[in-house]
Amino acid sequence: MSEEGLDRRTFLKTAAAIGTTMAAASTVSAETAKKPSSGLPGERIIGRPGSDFMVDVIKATGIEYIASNPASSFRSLHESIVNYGGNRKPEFLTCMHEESSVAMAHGYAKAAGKPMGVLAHGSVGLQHAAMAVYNAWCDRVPVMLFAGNFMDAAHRRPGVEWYHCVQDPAGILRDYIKWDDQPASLQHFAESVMRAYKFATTPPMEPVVIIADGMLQEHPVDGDAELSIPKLTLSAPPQGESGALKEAAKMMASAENLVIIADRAARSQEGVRRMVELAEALNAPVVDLGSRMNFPTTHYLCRSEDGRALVREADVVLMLEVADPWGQLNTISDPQHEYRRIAKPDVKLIHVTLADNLMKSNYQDAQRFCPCDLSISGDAEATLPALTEAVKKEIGGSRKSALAGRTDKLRSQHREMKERTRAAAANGWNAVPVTTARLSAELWNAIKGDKWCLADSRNLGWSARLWPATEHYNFLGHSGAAGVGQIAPAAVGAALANRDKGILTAVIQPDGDLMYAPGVLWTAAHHKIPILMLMHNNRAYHQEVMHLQKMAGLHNRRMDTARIGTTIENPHIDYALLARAQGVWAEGPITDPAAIAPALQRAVAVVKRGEPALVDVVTQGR
Amino acid sequence: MRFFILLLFPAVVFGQDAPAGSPERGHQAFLKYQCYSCHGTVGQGGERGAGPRLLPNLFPWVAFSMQTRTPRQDMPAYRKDHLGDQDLADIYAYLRSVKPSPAVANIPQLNFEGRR
Repeated sequence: MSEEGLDRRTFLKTAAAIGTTMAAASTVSAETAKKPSSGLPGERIIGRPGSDFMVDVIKATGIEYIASNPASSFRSLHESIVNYGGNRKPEFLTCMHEESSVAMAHGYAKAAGKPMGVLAHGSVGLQHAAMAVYNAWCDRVPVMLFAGNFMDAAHRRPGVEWYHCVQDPAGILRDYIKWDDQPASLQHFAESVMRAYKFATTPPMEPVVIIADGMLQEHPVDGDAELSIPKLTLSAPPQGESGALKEAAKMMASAENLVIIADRAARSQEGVRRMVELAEALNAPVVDLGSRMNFPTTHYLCRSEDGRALVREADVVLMLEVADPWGQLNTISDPQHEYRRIAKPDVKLIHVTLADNLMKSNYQDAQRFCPCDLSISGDAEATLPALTEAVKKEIGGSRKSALAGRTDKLRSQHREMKERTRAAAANGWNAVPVTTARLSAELWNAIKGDKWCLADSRNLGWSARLWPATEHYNFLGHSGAAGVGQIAPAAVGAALANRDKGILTAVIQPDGDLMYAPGVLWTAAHHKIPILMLMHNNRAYHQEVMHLQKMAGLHNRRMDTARIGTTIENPHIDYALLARAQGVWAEGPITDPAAIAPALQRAVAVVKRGEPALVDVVTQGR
Repeated sequence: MRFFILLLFPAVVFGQDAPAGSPERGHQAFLKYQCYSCHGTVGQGGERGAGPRLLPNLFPWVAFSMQTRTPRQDMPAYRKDHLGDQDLADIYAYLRSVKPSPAVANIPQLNFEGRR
């Protein structure tokens, strides 16, 4: 944010005057030091501003990074982070857009398992940040947002500062944050930050906002000894009620065609292990919808690509934190909007979810209401051990043998699913532009020798379908609300979290997404965040090309105009040049499929020395 | 329903030859009319809501023509007003001319077995 109010000529005159004053001041400094203070504003020193205490509070939460585009409403807090806090835990990350700040925090939280802080103007900063906050909300990801604001109008500087102040800063976000507060004192700030952190990190996890009042930041701490920072104790996640779990176990143990559908079930590797334990106890196929890495793709019970067929035959479906349960059993055709049932009419549905604990009405992320036979309010990962135990108690000797007898068939079906996927990926292997399947396969071959993380595993589904993934850190899911512009910054945030874990972070980066706020490339270069960015450069907002075609078909009109307003060509954007301009190593555009592997090899070497790299590949649409 | 008729009377379907078409013109039409945006430039298919693959098992001409003009499911209809019969025949000829892709066994990058 830049400030207005001084034109260039006035600025130069003022700077010259300050220079003169400073020179004069140095000659008299020894003299003035002996005299009592004259009360001149320039002699006033605030040795312990409120923002120092705010830094103490933020440090007490364990927040390691604060992503921010610098701004005057939190200038004191910024200075305290850098000088008083030593710019370490939290470290200030320079971002070029508030949307990038929040999306970085979004990706970071999924990879680190804890929130990042974000600092923004309470007015224009949160306006910029809004869509990224909504993505994090829909993806159930905690973000600690701090917003600067001068509430006391009597202290505001005239002009821009008034534009940048607001009565209710969090109001613009309140439909899609879990909680917010505007503390009126430093003690209030300390307690509200702790409360906010607890709320944000208790499932269902969500973003929260705390306002850091400008005068509270800039005024001296009054009575430091009376201030205290409350102890932070995180809440254990809620587990489903034991009677309901017993009933669920009975329904599942007696099912003939049980399907388990997981979406945001696992929060950790332990969650993945628990998923495997439950699935094996029931010998039931698992459909991983992929908002998190829930289940190993290599396991014979992983049947994510056969979801529709499995649901069609199911008599019982167990859903674990599924964002859109109705959409798993039903669908609406496109573009005719005709209803189609997928599941049997009498299928029994069990859902373990915390969705009923989120009560907001304006934005429609709740998805269509889905009737349920057994609804269990609880965190899926926390509930899994008790649910598995209940299942094991229900499954007696003969039933256990019957379930075990299905194993060969299930193994064979898993193998066939994988073979079908590979055959589909081979189709058009040498095509130009490069197929998306080949793009994914080439990336896998470049990173397969390392511990790897794919920062967005939904945008291009080939990776989730093809790659052998067993670790929770392998796939980080998607943006949440499909708000475009999230993938690049979220990937950089994830790469930051993975940097110290020795995990190589890659992202298949859509061109349209990158162009929302490409300045995140500079942030990655500046902070030496090692990320491998492989461009999925289809030179279009390709989803919209297809939408235009559907509408033209529906209206019986020409289709050859579908690229008007939907493509990113004429001129083509040179993404390698865009990256290099911001200090990022880059190659491309690549059109020859055979040239991808060597370029990726060079890029991986750059990433391994701790820097970001971008490889631009011109691809098919989808 | 028509699809089932096609399945019941394969002789009707497979016995009928496609009209003559130009693969070169068909390639241009395939691009011009945006067929490739869902099905890929060589009919390999797309993902995430895009169209299914057209190759290697190309529909017989009658089924292909019917699906294009009055599609089942989510594909937009390409009616004669905006895609002439000759253009459609050319597109079909183009798809028949596309060289087969290599087999999975011959693509080392698709060997995921035993990998971490």
